[in-house]
Amino acid sequence: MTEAPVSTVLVVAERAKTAVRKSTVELLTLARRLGEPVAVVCGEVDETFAQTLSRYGAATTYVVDATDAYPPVATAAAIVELAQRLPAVAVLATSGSYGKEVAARVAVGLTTVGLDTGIITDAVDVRPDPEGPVATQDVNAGTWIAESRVRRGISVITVRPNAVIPEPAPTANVVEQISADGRGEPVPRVVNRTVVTATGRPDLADAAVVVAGGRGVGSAEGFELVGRLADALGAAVGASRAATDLAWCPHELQVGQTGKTVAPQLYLATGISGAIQHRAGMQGSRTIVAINKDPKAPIFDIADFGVVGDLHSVVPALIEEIGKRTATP
Amino acid sequence: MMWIRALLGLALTAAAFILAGRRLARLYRIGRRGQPADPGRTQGWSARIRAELTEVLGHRKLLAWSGPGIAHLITFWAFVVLGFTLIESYGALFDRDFHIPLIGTSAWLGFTEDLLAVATLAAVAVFAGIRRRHSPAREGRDSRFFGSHLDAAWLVLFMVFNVIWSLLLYRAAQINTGNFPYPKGAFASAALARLLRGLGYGMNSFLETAGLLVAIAVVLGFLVLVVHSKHLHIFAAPANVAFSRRPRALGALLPVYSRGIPVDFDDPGEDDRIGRGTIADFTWKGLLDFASCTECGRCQSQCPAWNTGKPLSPKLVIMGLRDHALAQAPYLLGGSTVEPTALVGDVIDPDVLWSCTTCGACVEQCPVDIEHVDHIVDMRRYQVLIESAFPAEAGVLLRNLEHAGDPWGRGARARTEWTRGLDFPVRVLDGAAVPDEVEYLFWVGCAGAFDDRGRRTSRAVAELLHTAGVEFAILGEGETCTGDPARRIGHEYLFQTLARSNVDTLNEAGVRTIVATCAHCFNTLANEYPQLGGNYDVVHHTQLLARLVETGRLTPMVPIDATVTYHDPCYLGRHNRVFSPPRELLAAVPGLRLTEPPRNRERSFCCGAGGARMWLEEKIGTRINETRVDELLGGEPDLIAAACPYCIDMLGDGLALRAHQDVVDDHVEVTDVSEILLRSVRPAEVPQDLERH
Repeated sequence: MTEAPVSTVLVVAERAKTAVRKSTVELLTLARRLGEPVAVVCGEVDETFAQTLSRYGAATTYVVDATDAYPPVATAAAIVELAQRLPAVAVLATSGSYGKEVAARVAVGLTTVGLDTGIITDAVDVRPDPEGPVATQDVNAGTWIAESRVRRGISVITVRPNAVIPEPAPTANVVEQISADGRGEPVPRVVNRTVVTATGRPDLADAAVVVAGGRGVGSAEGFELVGRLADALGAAVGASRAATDLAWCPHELQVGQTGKTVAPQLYLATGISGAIQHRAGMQGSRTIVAINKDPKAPIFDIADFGVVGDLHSVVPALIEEIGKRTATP
Repeated sequence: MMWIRALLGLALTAAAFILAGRRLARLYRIGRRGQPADPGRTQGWSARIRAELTEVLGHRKLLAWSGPGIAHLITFWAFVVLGFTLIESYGALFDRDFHIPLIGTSAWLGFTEDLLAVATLAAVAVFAGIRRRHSPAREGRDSRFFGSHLDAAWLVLFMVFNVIWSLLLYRAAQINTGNFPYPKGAFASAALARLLRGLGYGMNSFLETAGLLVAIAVVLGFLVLVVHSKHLHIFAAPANVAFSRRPRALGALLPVYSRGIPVDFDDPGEDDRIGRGTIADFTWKGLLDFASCTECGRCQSQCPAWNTGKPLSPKLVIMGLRDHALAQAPYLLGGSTVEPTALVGDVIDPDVLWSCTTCGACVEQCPVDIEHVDHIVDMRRYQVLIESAFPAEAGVLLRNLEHAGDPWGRGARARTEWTRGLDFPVRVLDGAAVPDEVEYLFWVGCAGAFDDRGRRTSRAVAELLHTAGVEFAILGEGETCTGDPARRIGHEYLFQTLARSNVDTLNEAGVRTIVATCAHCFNTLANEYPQLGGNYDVVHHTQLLARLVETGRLTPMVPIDATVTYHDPCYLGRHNRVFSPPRELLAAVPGLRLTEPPRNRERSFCCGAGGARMWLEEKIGTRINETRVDELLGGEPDLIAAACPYCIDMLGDGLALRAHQDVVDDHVEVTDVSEILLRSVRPAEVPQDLERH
């Protein structure tokens, strides 16, 4: 008796500095629902990286050899090749600039080599179905939920960060090299790299917890309080435009219409009034907690929990309490 | 002697006509290579003739700046009237004692010629003074001449000066040799003649011939200079004024035209030119615009982007396009097959393109009716629709407009949240037809429905209409963004999608009259929806409220002891000429003292949010909204009133920053005119909502 063919799910792995990006292990968790996950990562990885991937179920980790190639192109080329070699049913990537670019290039690449495919972006959930994976999307700002399926061939799906809570499922660990054959097409080259200084905090875009400060924080010194609270919670730091405009924190931390869009499990807004432009960047957060001294601040309209009070007394008390609770065994 | 004088004069003339003619023919051929313009250019001739009379002959726009305006008016009319002296000088080439038949010896003509000649000398002195005082060397970027061709401008002034002195010189000599047509009236020539009389007949006779030839040579040299320089406006500007959008190139934007036909975005043609990607995409009117620019810099002096340290100057955009068009002439004229380079990047910096707020201050000022905003939006259209190249933040805006129908991604369901807590029901159509008793459809707009400050305005207007007994209804979930930000960022396809859906909703509901609080919605509904078959009577809420106050249906009674300054929103004022109603409302409130900021009405300074800049980061230079708030605070107001949610948000943010910096007292607030009116009309029923600042 021969074993039923296992369908492979290719997962585009990303890194956060040197470690595995959290959204990648979320993808692996989702991928296990659909078949056997295989991770594809661009550039050299260390032992721990591969181990993390296998802890979440990646039987094989393909490392794309791309010394100075433009990573999305090299990764997409490798995935197209793997999809032909393995019986792949789906390709999962994170809904971010990198993941979306890879996904789009994969979809085009598969079509070019004569395979059927289709792409679904910004999924918030994926489930198996006899006729192929079904992706769930939030439509019209969460007013509607759409379920869709790629009708023929390999489903390419990009999934938003924080769509699922990662669950480990350890498996054997095989690392294989694969070279990015651009099929003779010109592959863009990386000409320069700039290293961003590390803050030691999680990445704002996919942190599970975000602590954000606004004008109510009062000063650059006051903003350090926001950072302390974030560290106590293991959270990323965000800010409203007012705070970044006043240069209390780097511009990259701006959450809002013209800054980053975040959707963490917990969003803690301190001294933020909740103007529409800020709200546009965080309205997808699972739970919103607001601390503001103005009871009429619009942030309380969308907050699940609110504290009306001066953040300069509330936040230190909160940090102290968190310290007490995490200290007790 | 006479035949030498005639021969020299004719030789000079022939040489100059060949040089100038070749240049003009080349410029004309380049202009003919432009794309066909929209059909409206050659319609509505009564308005076009009126514009020629008021703007060209009457200098209406130039006179908005009185000093240089009067000086230019004099020079213009001097050159028209001095056409008589040109006839006289050419006549004198052949007949030493020539005079124009019938009127040529009348004292009034001699007097007029001399008067304008002397006045022109005074005008040249004024121009020179202005150029010295406001030279870029002294004022840097603040100078309106920054970036203009300065040497050419001085050369032109020098040539005007030469035209006048050489004219007066030979006229004076003619008097002394007895060959002058005017026995009386030519006072300046006569005065100079008295000075020259002592030189004797022989010398005066020489000066007569030499002066005449110099005068003709100078005029011909000036002609050659004009057609080779920015002074081409002498010929181009009257034509440009004739073919400009009327009444002005503000308000509505034109649809995307390709070969003079609107592009059908449902099924665009293979060869359709979408927007302007290269110089070859501009219409002949665009090329005429570039040829008409005189580099006066009035546009630059008013531009909110330029005035806050950004690289955009409307003048430099037009000059850059003109220089590029001339450089690409071999391609345009078919002599070269090398495709012209992409405009954005090589000719126009992306930061220039995206800095524009479409406030229209440049178009308002331009004395020759150049359509800067249209050109900038056309280049944006190419960048967005063909290149997909736009500021990253705009992606969020466009995605939200596509998915949620509003810029912030709130979605239709939240559209009626603002009505909660009102002590009367707001009629929501929700797909139904407008009942007979409803007078106005209240177009709430995205800001009015979702933004905290905007909601306060919506509530104030609703309360005032309710108090006045005006029956109104809202569309509720059926409303989406009008498409203003999509159109102004260059995403015409998205604009068409949004606009068509709204026009369908409004037409199906049988809407005829609309009141809008947002100046941008107001502009789009009133001026742009007719392009898509949506014809409505649209009023701004300040217009409607002013009418209600005037007819006694609303009576502001409670005095407000405060100083208020009013900020003219660009899309209400400059684009739509609604200047008085908001001021009338403020004047109707007892106790209120209205102060005007230095830049007001037609010259109001943008808040920084137009042209979809509301949803873009402002990273270069100083913030436009902060600059404007500082100006408004100059009148030491207690209240800053505006009549557009974009302005109120931008000014509110600027004021909050200044309050944080302790530059201004905490009690100062930015608010809509309607909220102030409400405080005076129904004081008892609003405080809980108005306490929040």
